[in-house]
Amino acid sequence: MPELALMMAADRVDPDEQEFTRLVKLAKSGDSMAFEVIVLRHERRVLSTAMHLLGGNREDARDAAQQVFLRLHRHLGRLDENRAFAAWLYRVTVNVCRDIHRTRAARPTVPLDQAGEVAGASESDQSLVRSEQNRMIHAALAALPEKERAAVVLRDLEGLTTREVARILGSSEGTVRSQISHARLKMRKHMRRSS
Amino acid sequence: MNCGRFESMIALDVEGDLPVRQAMRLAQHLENCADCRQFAEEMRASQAWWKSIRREAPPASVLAEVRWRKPGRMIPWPFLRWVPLAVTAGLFLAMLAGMMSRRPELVPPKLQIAAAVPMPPTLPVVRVNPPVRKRPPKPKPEPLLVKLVTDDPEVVIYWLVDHKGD
Repeated sequence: MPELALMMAADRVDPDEQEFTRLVKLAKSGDSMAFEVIVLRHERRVLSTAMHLLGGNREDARDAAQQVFLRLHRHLGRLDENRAFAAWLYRVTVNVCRDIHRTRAARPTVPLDQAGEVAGASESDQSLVRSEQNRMIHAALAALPEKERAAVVLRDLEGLTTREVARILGSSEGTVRSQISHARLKMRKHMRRSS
Repeated sequence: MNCGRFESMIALDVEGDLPVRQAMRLAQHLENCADCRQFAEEMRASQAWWKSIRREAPPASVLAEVRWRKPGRMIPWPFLRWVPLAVTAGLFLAMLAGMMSRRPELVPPKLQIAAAVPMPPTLPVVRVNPPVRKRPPKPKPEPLLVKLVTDDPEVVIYWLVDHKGD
């Protein structure tokens, strides 16, 4: 089945839990098409979360997303379709990004394609400003401690509740609130510095 | 007034993360503190500023790469990192196996003989062929004597028969 048809199939499907449970069951029984639909449904979310957690580095985010789906494929048999799949996926994404971040921390790099985008002559002034602003935000996020970054990304960018974030990160709600508060205060300082 | 502890409360309150009781306390404080009201405004602006990256969609090219590399389609590159390690380990194991196969056979340790026991004189070893045992000659079978008795008691025929029946 071509990619486009698969994407259309993924968009048409009503994204309710019952349908998802059916997809997971099919994927568990070896239906590769069902697995592809699951991936297509969640790839944007996984990729954007990974980008935010990895300071906007697309190469790293791509590798992280790939590893997340690899783990999903590997653990499909053990996956409980009745439990919150999104939380599981977020947890795996956070763990994978943490591993990648630790591995690459020793040798920080700026991908050439992104550097070119900022300095690209073909882009309009507005998009240039936008790109530069995004780069600064990602840099500010990357400067946060690992746990604060994960907490604030899940809460503010992914829109999860404090309780959900606490469950995903394996912390108490109080701890997560404290991490979020610290992270927001630091982001404010970054904004003041950049403006 | 020391507003330091209210800053962290404001940081939570701007997104509705402050528990109700603390939110009420903060609201009372904000009514009387212009600095904290200013701080709250800045916090809201900061949140709007950095949360704007939420609108940033993942690039289509990166999405396409994730799709292309998804499980079952090709060997994931992170596993390729282990290939040199696996090859090195294989070579090491092969070398180890080669060394083990060429190891000299185990020789039993020499017996330690107490000094009090006199050593027997070393005698030259002479190889002696064991004596060949000769089979005893087979005894010749004695001729068979056949006695034929006729009707006439006076006449008796004796017949000597050798072992071949002649």
